[in-house]
Amino acid sequence: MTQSDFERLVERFRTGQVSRRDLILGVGVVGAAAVIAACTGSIASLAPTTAPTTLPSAAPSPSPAASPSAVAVTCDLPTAAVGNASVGDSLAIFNWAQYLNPDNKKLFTSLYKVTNLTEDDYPSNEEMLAKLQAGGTGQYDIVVPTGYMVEIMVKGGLAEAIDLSKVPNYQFVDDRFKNLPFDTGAGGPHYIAKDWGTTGFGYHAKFVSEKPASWADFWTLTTSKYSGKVNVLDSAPEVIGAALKKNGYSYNSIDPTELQRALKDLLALKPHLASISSTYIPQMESGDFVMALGWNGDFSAIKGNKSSADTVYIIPTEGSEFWVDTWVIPKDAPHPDAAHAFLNFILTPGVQAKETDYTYYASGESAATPCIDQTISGDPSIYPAQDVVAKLEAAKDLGNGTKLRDQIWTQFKSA
Amino acid sequence: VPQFTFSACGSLFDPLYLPVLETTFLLAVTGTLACLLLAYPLAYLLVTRAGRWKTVGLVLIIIPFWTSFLIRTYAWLTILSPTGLLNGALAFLGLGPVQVLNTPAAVLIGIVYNYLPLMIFPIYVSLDRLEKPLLEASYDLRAGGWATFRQITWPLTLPGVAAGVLLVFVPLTGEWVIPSILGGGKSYYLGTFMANQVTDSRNWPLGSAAAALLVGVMLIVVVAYLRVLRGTTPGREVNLL
Repeated sequence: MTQSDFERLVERFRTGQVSRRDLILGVGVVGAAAVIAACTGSIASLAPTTAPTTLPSAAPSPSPAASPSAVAVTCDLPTAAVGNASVGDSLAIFNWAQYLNPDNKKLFTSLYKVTNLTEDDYPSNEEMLAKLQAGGTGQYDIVVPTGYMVEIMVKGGLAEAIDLSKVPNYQFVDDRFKNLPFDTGAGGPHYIAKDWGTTGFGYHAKFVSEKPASWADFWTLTTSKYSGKVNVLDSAPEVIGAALKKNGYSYNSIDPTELQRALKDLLALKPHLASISSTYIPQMESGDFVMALGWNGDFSAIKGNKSSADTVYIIPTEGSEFWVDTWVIPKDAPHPDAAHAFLNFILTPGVQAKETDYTYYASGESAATPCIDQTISGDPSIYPAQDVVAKLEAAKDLGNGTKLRDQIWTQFKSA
Repeated sequence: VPQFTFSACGSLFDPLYLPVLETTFLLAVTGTLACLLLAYPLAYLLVTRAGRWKTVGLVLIIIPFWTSFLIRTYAWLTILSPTGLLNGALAFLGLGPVQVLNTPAAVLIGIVYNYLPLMIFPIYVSLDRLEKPLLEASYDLRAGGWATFRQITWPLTLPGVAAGVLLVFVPLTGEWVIPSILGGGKSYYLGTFMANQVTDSRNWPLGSAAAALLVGVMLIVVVAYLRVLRGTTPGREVNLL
């Protein structure tokens, strides 16, 4: 990483333009990593918080589209625009920073003659929502909320139903990512899955020889041998969710008895934690922390650093959470035709593969998997095995239950 | 938009949140005191003993301000971490490693480091403007060094001290960055609490109630400051005579 790269990162951090991809770009330089960690912390602490519950593999599949296997899948990039009609020359995208491959953007611009493609960045779902609520929904054609935020947008009338007749490539999206329960709107899907990932924990194999595999192991090791060397995220849904899963409850439980049980475990853990922080990547890399609760993307970054290549990411055996980021067309989008054309373009398997090669997050299209760089598609922390996936639960917008969980969080944090 | 209501203010006084208010208040008071205890002697030395190094001293205090607050706070991470500079130096001296990072001590260090100049400057100015003949008169009247300080210097520099206390105490009550970075998020302060309410918990009423409470407390502090200032004004008039 050069000095100008570092300065660019610092500047982006200062202005709040932070990205999930910065994680991967910056590993190796501790100072820069601190900045990046700060960035990802702010994103990460918000990104995968809550999205509806479903076992991904058990999701219903009422899609009328043909299954991908019925269609010949190639890794080729499109060479011409789909459809004859012009889609206009403008498209405004509101996205996490560096969460869209610039090559794909360039190709779309040239194929569809959308010469005026603009992309603005936001660092958190809440900020994106605030901007749409305060400035009107007519500012953007495409936004990228996490699942739980789709629910909030749909309920608030901020999301438009997507016209699937204009998005034939929707057939390539895996059925388990279609019709997820956070989309409560009528008249067609209001979202299309973009990427997905998981919450679990990671550890340094060179320090932790016990091979922990479950939340129970995480608790046992943290409260004994590795006391003072473990970090958990500074984010309530993930940490409370882990304690609930450890006890065999739902990640989204709002049952007072179950939450009290989780609180008991959390209070037992608290004195042994080194910190409760979402900016833990540098300390994990330096070995100050030997184990941490976090997202798979974080540990891909940590593992990418030479000094911490021994890092192992675990999706605990009791099960855990998966989160989905999505494409959404906001209500009153000024250029709906271009937005639909873009969604259809981005869902082309070859284009999807380029996205994953760039973001290091798993695509919602299995059809794209053979086209993805094998070091990514073969990484179980990015593409976990099917039986592991089956145990994952999606976080959900808990409505009034959020207050109860916030009280649990307050007791944990102020203990 | 829901109806205007004070109900969130009531829930703020739930015993659940008392520890949050308590730790915040404790942090603000100890942080301010620590800054004052360091800043006053430093400003005093600069004014009375530094001679031609006075300007150099002042510039040295200002220079760190040219760097981003965040970068400076992150720099302490590399100093205080278990494998950082501090423990490296201690190991060199044959002393065991100490755990400073992610403790209240680290938060206090970060606070003193970041806020100290805000305390030094008002005190420096009030010391610099102190009429030297008053001190001479005091010595002529056979007052010792301590008596002169207690009866002349301290009361006359009180406005500077009060201004410094105000500049440090007010932002400290809402401090969010330093505890998050250096404290490891293990203590819950009002600033962190408010940030959490408007983001993760999406409970804007409770976050707003906390912010309103903070503004209320700050008003009281500012009024107290103005009273201190007024209380010392007669002294200044004597000065002019």
